[in-house]
Amino acid sequence: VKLSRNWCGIFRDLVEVRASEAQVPQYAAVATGVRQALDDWVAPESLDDYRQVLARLSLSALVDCSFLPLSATDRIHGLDYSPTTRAGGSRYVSSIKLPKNAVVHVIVSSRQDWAEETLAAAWYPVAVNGRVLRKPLVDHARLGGAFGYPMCCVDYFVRENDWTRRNMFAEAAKRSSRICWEANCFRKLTPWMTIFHMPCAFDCAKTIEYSHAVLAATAEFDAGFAQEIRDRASRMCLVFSEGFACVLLNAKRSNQTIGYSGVEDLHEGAPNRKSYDYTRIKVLQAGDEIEIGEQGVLVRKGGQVLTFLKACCDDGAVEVPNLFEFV
Amino acid sequence: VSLLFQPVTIVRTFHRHTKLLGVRLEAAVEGLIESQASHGSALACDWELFREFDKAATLEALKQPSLHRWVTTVEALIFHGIVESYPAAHPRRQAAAFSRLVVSGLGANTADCKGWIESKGDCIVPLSFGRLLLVGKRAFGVGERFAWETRGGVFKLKTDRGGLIAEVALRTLEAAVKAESGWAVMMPGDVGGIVICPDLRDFDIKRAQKEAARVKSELQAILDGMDAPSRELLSCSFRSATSAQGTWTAGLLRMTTPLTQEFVLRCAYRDRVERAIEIWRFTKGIDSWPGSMEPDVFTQVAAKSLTERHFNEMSLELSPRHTQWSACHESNSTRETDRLLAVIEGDDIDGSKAEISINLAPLLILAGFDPKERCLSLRKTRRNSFAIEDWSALDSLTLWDGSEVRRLLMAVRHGDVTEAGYFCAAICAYRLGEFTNAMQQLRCCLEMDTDVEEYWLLLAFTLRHLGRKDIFEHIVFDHVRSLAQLAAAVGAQEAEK
Repeated sequence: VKLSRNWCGIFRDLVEVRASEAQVPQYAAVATGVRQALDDWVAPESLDDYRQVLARLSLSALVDCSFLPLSATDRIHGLDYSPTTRAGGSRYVSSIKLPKNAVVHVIVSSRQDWAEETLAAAWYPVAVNGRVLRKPLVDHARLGGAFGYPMCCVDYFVRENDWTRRNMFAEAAKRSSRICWEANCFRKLTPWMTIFHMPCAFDCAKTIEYSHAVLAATAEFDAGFAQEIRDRASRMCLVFSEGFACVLLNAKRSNQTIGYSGVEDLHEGAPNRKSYDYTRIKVLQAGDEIEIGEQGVLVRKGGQVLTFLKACCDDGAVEVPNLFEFV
Repeated sequence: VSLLFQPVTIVRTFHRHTKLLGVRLEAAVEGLIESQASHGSALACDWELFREFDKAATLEALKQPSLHRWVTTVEALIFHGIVESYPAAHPRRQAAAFSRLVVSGLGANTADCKGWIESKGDCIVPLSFGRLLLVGKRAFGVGERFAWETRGGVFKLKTDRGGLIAEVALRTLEAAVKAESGWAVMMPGDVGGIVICPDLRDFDIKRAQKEAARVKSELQAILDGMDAPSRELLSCSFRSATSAQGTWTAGLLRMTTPLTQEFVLRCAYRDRVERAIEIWRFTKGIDSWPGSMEPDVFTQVAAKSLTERHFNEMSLELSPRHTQWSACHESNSTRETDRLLAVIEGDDIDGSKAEISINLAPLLILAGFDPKERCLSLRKTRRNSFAIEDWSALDSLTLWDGSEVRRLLMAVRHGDVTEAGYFCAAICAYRLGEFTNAMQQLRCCLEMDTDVEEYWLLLAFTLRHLGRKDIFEHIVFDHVRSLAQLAAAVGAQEAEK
């Protein structure tokens, strides 16, 4: 895995064994009891080593099932109902070799009963026998509770999350009187994150409390990393939907116009990305100023229009361009 | 819109689809006009102009792939309620985009009229259904407007300050090119009624012209060598062909270089099959898909097979594609596939649905609820169906207060021993976290009807919550669908342990 920072201690071992820099602060949160459990995906050949690293944190893992890659020719009924997960599901049997790029879905916790409670509700919409199997909505609520997310945010998610009809971030922003850095959930796919859940508002008191607790837990293991997270959490984000968000570096806003010097893609490497999202990042990187409207974002370079990035509402997710300036 | 086309020369599927598209267009436009999305756009005026098109122009307009795309998009925006939730975003742009579709059909009208076009980041104004394009060679700001007018058969495009951009004689398409700096006129033209659509995403006019010329010459050579049935098929297709960089053509397939007769015919067949599927879905319900493949795979396989049959060049028995096609034909889970194939051939066949519903409304009344407000039902998904499970009733309960769910459970438990009653009790118990009770109720459901995926899958999730992930896996991964088999499998596992 290409490392974006120098990891040390138990975090380095976690990153190495998982071949991923994602979610590291959440491991600290589970290890310190800030949250009950988390879930993750691990290469089957690394599972034993992974369990050994977890044991050093007094954690253990329960296996849910195997996630198998879908090929381009696999045609699965109901994939439209699964906006992010694109995998086939199969029973995990340690003695059976899985195909390349298969991963094992695991639940990590410090207590067996917490792990079992989480596992019961942790089914993902994977494809089995040619069609996607979703879990009932009430299990989404149960899973959020088992993960230790604020219940106000869990309820909000259960009631409002609908990619094809609603833009959760725009709706949560409307409910907020302030955009607090602690509720910055756009960095969840990067190493520098404190929360994974979508907050019910960007000034949700429970989320802010939870975010501080995760940061403190992270600092117990690596104070420098915790400081990096804090430093990055306030950077201005341009967000279209759950599928597209980026940081505008050195951004300065004047009404609807924002000047910037560079772009950090917050969904880099995310699976099943739309091809136009890559184009958007390239165009934004080529520009130095944007102007935001409800229909999209006008990108300029040296005052000249480069292009207009349209917000889509008919391609799986409702996109509403928003600029998040955190305080 | 008057859609009483003469069906004489039109293959039945295309005729039905075109009529259906006309009806959908009307519903889509009126849906947008009713919403806030059209405020400030010229949609209402544009719609009036469209309604004045004569029959031939309407038919030509309805054959444009861009119009089909426009209607499909607006339907999605209305269906998902986005026209209400976010009217100023994509719906607003769609409302503005309709003006180009109207302008492109103006040549047929004799009456003088005028209107305006809004930039959506670029500016390409098509005339005569895309046979002539006015192209702004740079990106424009969103919302920048361009005025147009037709007088005496001459089309004029102007800047919002009144400066003339271009002047075109609509009947002859002769452009009196008085183009402002930054504008160009392009005539990609058409071949045998198939309009060439160049790729102008990066406004590279020279490259687009070169590519259009290539497509035009190759398409002409292909049409020259075609037999009469092939020409008839092509004459019915969506008429558009673009460059290698674009998505497209008569059958909306990605075009290859060089073009071949086989490819063009496959595009046309694909178009035909896609339209048949749309008719099917609109007449039988959007979720009714009987095939053993996803619709787009089905379309590809069907187009390939029909083309092969057309040319009779290869043994169908040896074609792996044809094996899949035959598998579709022979699917014995339901006869719906055969009916769909009949639709593709242009016949009218009516059929029953593979799924049936259980109405839970009487149970709501029993529990003292108003069933109109809380309509619960279960679509029983059959084992061989390719629909996914229906959790809608259970998901509705998730948003209820726990005490209300308990009230319903109590009412159902004491008053109903029907299949619907057991299912209602099962979902109430599941919602409340009473998994042992849920399991018992689902067992009763399965004793009444064993071929309901919702019963099996909810039983699987229930057992997962009861700590029996092993039985969950038997149901989900091993596809065990018999209580006796399940007991045997679990028994064998216990014995092994």
